[in-house]
Amino acid sequence: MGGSVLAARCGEAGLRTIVLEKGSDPTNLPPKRSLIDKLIGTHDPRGGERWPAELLLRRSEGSAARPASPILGIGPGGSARIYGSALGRAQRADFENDFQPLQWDDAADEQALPNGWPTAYSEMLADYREAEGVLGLVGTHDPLDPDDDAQLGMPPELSPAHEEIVERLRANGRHPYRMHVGIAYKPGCTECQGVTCPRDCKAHGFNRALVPAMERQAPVSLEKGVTLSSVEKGANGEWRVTYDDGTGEEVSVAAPKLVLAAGALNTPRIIEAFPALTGGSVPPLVGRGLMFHSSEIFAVTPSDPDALYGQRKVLAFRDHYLDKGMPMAECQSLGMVGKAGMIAEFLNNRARLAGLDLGRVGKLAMRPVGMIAEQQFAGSELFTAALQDLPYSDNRVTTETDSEGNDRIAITYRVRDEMKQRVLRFRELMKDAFAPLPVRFLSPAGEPNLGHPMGTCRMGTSPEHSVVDGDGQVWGQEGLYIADASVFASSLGINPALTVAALALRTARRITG
Amino acid sequence: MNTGGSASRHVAITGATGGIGAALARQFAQSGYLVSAIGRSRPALDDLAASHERISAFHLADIADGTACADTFVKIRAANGPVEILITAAAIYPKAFFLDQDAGHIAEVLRTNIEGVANSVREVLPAMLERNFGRVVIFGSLADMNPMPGSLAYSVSKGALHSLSKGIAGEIDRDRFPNVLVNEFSPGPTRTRMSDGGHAPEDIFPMLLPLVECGSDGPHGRFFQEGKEIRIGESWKAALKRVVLRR
Repeated sequence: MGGSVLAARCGEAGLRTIVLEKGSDPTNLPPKRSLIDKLIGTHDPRGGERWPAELLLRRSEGSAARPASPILGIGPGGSARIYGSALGRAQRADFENDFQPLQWDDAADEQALPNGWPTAYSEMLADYREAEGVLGLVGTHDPLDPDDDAQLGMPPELSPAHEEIVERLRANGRHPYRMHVGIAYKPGCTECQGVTCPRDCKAHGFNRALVPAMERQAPVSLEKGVTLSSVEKGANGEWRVTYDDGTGEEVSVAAPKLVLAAGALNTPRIIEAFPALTGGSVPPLVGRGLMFHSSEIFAVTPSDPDALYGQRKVLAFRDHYLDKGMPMAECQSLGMVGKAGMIAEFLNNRARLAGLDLGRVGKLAMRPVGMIAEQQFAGSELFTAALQDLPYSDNRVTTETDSEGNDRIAITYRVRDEMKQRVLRFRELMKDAFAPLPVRFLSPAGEPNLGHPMGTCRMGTSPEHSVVDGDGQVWGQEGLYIADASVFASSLGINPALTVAALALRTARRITG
Repeated sequence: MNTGGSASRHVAITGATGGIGAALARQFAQSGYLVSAIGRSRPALDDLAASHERISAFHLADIADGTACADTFVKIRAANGPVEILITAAAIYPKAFFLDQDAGHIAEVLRTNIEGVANSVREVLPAMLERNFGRVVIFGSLADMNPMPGSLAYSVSKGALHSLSKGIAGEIDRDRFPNVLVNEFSPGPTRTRMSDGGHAPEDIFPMLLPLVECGSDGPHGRFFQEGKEIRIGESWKAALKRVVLRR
């Protein structure tokens, strides 16, 4: 998202822009997977549009790593191309608070990294408006948010069961609205997740910003299948980037400005791999302060399951975005229907939390249970919330070489008790919001959403507490910028995509002067 | 369970001036359905409309003409509301040996028999999806399996309808639109202008009705001949999966 939006703006301003993209165009045919692979859900990179290798995940430095499927897109448009489409703004409170666990948890024994934003929300609003204009959203305004002036198209109609849920929420004093979605709906839209749909309704930086800019003859060139081999800073202050263009050919380019937009799991690893970027030594916070939203997923069962149909990314409410000073989240439609694989995954996670790692055999065993449960969930609507995470210095991303000599994304991440407490509080609030409709929670408390990595090159007001300034420029490195979720100072109670686009527009403005 | 059994529903029938189409139009009307009859022959349409108050007739000279077809369905919507059930019975069956055909023969048959079906389904499907209610019954045939001498173009066109029907069905998201069902139906030999022997045209309605009146758990993307399902080209793996999962 960030890279495409920024490149489009720079190109349109007349700057010669080269986009170096690791991914290639996805092949149309996903690789053949065996029945067993499908059943146990081994990682499926989907013909090259998903990150190719599993992540290595551990709870603390030195503890054993377990593999986890990455929820990362690769290729032009990035994750927003195959996931995404929930394009809500963060709220004023996100930008004006420094959230510390001691504010609500007396037992908290540690501080989070300072997480106030260096930019005022009023400035951020202008960037949000512009990003919304580029991407094109449908939805309605949040009745609780006086700042919500987003330009919104007409969302698709609600099914009678969705109407019932809306009525329930209203009767319980909540303020539901139509969630802000970047989909140019066509009849029969599947609201695709996890693959690129050829109908191309979903808005992301590539199809809504970069492709149109290139069609308007902006001086942008896109190199795909690129692997970086070196980055140096010349005596004249220019960056010299050398890369393999995918054919084995080494190509070298020089430019006064260099922007990293590889995403929060990759941008800090690029800085670590090429210390010349930051004058030979890597700033201490690079890769640290990694945040993942805690992914709450729950099923709400309306009274008539047959009345539930049609588009699913439809509802949101923000009555509990904050609760007694605690950062929570927007509650929104998940936009997916409960499937056997998802439920089996949930059951395995439950088993793992109970100290029982069933491994791959367990995945196989849980599958039939999931298939039975699928029937149970067929008449339920799934909701989700991206519960805010706080940045802790020891939660981090690094590069690790596996036994086969491949560089892998390694994540050290521990969920804090204060997070679990907030999750439990949020669940109480959700049960209350939908009552008397039954609410069933499908995710373990504090399950990190690996698709929302943030904060690994933090934005702040000083180099002591951050990596980049309020415009995304790396402290002390003239002409080096970061334009992805790495720069997030806090995790926000909403999907990161729109904020990434808004910040990219801001950084582009700084670059183009 | 969502059912399709409400008899006041709106059914559109293409090829309604053919033998089977006309019989279906009358029988649907007699069963309480609101019928939009689409055909090429004006006199036959007039007779049909006069035969029952719940039948209204719409003339369409060339169903393969996308613009003309769209215009007709606009008129149908304006008169009778969104189409809830579509029966595509329009087809041509000119008998000609391969070596006697001129260069345009096959194209003409394919146009009507394939593009005509696609055109009419395209006009009704969006509103069906929006309301999560729709039944599409595409008149098919197994003529493609053993083309009879002189029926080559017809056989080719009916073979194409298997993938057209299954393809359209496969693009419908079952989670979001579970009550929109598309199936292919073959009446078997029937006494019409196209054939001298077989069923009486009136025998077809009861065979076809289950595909219209079934609930959202009814068949989708499947082929039925004379009321019995035939699994065209099913692999042994797919058959095993079906038996094991009792689908």
